[in-house]
Amino acid sequence: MLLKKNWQEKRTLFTFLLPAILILLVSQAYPILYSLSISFRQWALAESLKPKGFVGFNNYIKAFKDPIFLNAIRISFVFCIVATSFEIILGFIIAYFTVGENFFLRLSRTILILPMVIAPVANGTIWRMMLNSQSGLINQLLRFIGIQGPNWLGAPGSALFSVIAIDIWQWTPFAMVVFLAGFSIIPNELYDAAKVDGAGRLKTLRYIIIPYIIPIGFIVLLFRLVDTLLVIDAIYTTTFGGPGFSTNVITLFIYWQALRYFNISYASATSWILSIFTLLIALSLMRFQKRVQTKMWGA
Amino acid sequence: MKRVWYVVIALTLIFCINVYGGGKKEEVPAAITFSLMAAGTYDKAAEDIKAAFEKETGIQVTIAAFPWATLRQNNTTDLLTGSGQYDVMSGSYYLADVYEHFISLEDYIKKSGFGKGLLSGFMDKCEHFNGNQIGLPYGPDAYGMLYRKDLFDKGELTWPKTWDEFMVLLPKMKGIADANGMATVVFSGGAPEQAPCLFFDKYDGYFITRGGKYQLEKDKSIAVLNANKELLKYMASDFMGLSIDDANARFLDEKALIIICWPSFIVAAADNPQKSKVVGKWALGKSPTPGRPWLSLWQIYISKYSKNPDASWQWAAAYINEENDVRFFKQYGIGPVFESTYKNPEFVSKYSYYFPSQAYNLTRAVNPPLSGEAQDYFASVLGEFGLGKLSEQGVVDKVNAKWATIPVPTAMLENAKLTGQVQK
Amino acid sequence: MLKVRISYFNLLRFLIVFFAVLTVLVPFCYLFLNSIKLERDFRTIPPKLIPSEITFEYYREAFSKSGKISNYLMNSVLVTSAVVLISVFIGSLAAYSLSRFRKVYRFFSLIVYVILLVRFYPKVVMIIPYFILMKNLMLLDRLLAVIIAHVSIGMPFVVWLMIGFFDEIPKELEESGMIDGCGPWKRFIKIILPVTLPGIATAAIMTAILSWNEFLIASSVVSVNAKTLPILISGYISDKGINWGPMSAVSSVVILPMFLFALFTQKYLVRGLTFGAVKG
Repeated sequence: MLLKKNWQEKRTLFTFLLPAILILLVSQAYPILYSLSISFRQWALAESLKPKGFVGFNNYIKAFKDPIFLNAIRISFVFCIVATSFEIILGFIIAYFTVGENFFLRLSRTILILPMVIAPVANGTIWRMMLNSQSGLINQLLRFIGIQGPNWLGAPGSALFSVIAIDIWQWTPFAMVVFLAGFSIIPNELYDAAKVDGAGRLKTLRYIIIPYIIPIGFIVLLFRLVDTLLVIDAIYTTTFGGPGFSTNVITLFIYWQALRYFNISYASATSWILSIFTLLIALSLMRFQKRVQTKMWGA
Repeated sequence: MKRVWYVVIALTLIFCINVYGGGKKEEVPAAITFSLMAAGTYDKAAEDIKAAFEKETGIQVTIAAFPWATLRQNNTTDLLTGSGQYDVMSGSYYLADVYEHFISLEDYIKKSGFGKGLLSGFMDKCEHFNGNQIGLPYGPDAYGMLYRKDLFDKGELTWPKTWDEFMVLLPKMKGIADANGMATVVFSGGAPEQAPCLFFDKYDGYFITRGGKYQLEKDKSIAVLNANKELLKYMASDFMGLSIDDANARFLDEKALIIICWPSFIVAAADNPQKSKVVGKWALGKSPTPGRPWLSLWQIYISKYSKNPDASWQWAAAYINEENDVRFFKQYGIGPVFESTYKNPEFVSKYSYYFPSQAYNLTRAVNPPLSGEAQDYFASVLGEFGLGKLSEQGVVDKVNAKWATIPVPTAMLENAKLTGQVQK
Repeated sequence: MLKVRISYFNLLRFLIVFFAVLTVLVPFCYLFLNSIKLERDFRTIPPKLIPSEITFEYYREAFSKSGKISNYLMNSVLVTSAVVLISVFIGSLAAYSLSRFRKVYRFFSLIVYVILLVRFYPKVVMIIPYFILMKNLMLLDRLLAVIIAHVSIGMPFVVWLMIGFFDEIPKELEESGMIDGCGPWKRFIKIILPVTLPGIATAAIMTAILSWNEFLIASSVVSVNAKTLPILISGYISDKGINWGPMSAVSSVVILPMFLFALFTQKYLVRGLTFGAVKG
């Protein structure tokens, strides 16, 4: 366009950009860069009030030798992989069965999206009540069929499982909504062709829908992987990383280091490890998704 | 078109001003803010005395109540950044990292004579920094044991004075418990941060070495862990899955002979016929010796960044005094700190099964001098021990290895000295 | 003769959809039931599922003078609307500018990716630096502190989303405006905005949900006056247990507006949730 030579146009466009850049510089860039610089210095409030000298990569090295951090990585991975796969599978199944325009399907679709718009704190309230070992609904139902349910959120064995289930409850709707959008862009000709070939439901699903929807699946995967790695609210409001370290995901680990033990430089270093890792996953998945999409849908 | 934009901008400006003003405080000669936990007890008690206090002194008080986790986080960040949002703060030994941000209360204490009539030793149990007291105590509790007095009497057992006696009595207690279809001991093993209580209440060794490092005293620790291993055999079979509320419910439902618990969490319910089947049947045991029962003690601190330290002191002294001690206990069940309340004839006759033992346990209880990191790690290792994954020796080795890397906050060291928890 | 044919497929579909809807609805119903249950129904062993008596005491208490929920509600409404207005306005201006610039200069694509970075950063670490910042700006316990925090999380999202919409605008449309002699401002308002209205709506909805629900950062910069609703909910958790009744009531109050919101705006949600990657 004419942008290259049009100075006035450029100036105005630049003023459009300015406020956003300013806000981001002040409220995001500053904290992020601050934490980067702190991560190379030694600063634990138990020792001193001001950051001490430069220690190079010591904080990063310490992290990879810290069994609690390594354990947090393990738990984050379990959380991330289990939650994401369940969300994608369940989301796909539910989406597949709720496609359609009759009133009941529309109504159920509306109801099904509700979990993801509620506040994480409210979500925490709900599940703390549902999973309470004495008065919770789940254990009451179990008692009804003669099983004594565990202390879901309080016992080391079941806590991780429970917070994963909460995440699945809240975010399967996301996968569902995205898959539904995906179904709606499958060209009708493909269905028609399948019909002409006399393909049944299963065959249509297997040969038409699933291949076509794979790129969409990658988008769900991308978002859920990243969000489950960064998950904090669902755990903060239910188990707070406990009992012991059984639900202590990386973000909670960072929270404890930063705002409980005030090992500020260490918290910054671990959070950089997490963000770089998340970013890498996201970028490579984005790349891969694009490639898959071009392959499946054409350019 | 342009006019529309002027209107939009004007409206936005007005909006911004409103928003900015939305949180603005009126400037009053002396206004203080008091931060404490939103629990429906301490905060309600503060609201109760606020109006009278303001009228009497002309000092305006704002009460900032937070949930426990947020309170801790907000207090600390406020101090570290020197913001001075809260003049008077509530907290406990977990604030050790930031003690230097509190003012010394020594002068105020001398002038006003505060501390007279407190339970013995309670001024020493408050936090100190550089030899100066910085905290005032309220709402104390000591980990203890409630037991079924009726069944003990029937079985002609008396409550043991030492842990050795206690261990010897255990089989007999089990006999009684079995005969009544209940567990001998119940404890919230599913709340792992509570696990150290079983250690603290039997351990009288040191936590900090002469050289100022965290360490467990080997022989004493192993003896304690040995006793605990034995004790675990008498616990309800599913105790590792019980939360605090669950364990309490067991005792209230006549499913346990003894409960190891924070008494303040359960006594109100235990005396309420709607919630409890054990009304009139229970008593609080005096904690056996040796050991230091785990103390939970809220304290009031005054921030170094307060613009009105005098007004802050006035408020602190108004919140903690003998009159309110009785009143808050009656109304909200807040644990009293004054000797006189524990000797109050009305309470003594009404709560004979609880008050004397609680006063006794409180005088023996102390805060362990552990930083948050040290205590969390200790609790998690004890949890593994409870599940049978570690030997006694293994616990001591594992804890000491990690503790060697955790710095001891200076203030902790000071308090540990006052309460005799440093290697002699 | 009317023949009712129930295929296996429809039976399966009915079962799955029914079960899914049940799983979603039951927790919400349970929450609501608990908010109208008497204290004693929580304590009985086993606890009563259905209230023995219906009480609206917790709601009355919450909306009473001492409950102060109306203040927090007002705060939440102010914060959310300000965040939506500011993020959408500034964000879409920036997105428009970036979308134009980056077609000519590659450097601007880099800015876009830097903006995206915000989404991949754990927000926990921001708390301390952000607190210091707000203290220096004298904004602690002011709504403005919460608003700035939410704008800084919400706006990058708006930018990312809106760039997608602006990129789709055909060149010709813009050029026709240029030929008419409209400056960038006028073109943006008169030509560009109307075409991207669905995008604006999506952006507004997403920022509204984000701001209404956000807890962690808001809770760290407010103390007394500027509390928002989510902070109030967590206030019922104390060291001695949880006040289920009032907590359920306040949670219901917080949830309800978002429910209505979701009902009326669901068609915009998809694109918003996927940062514009999937067009619903």
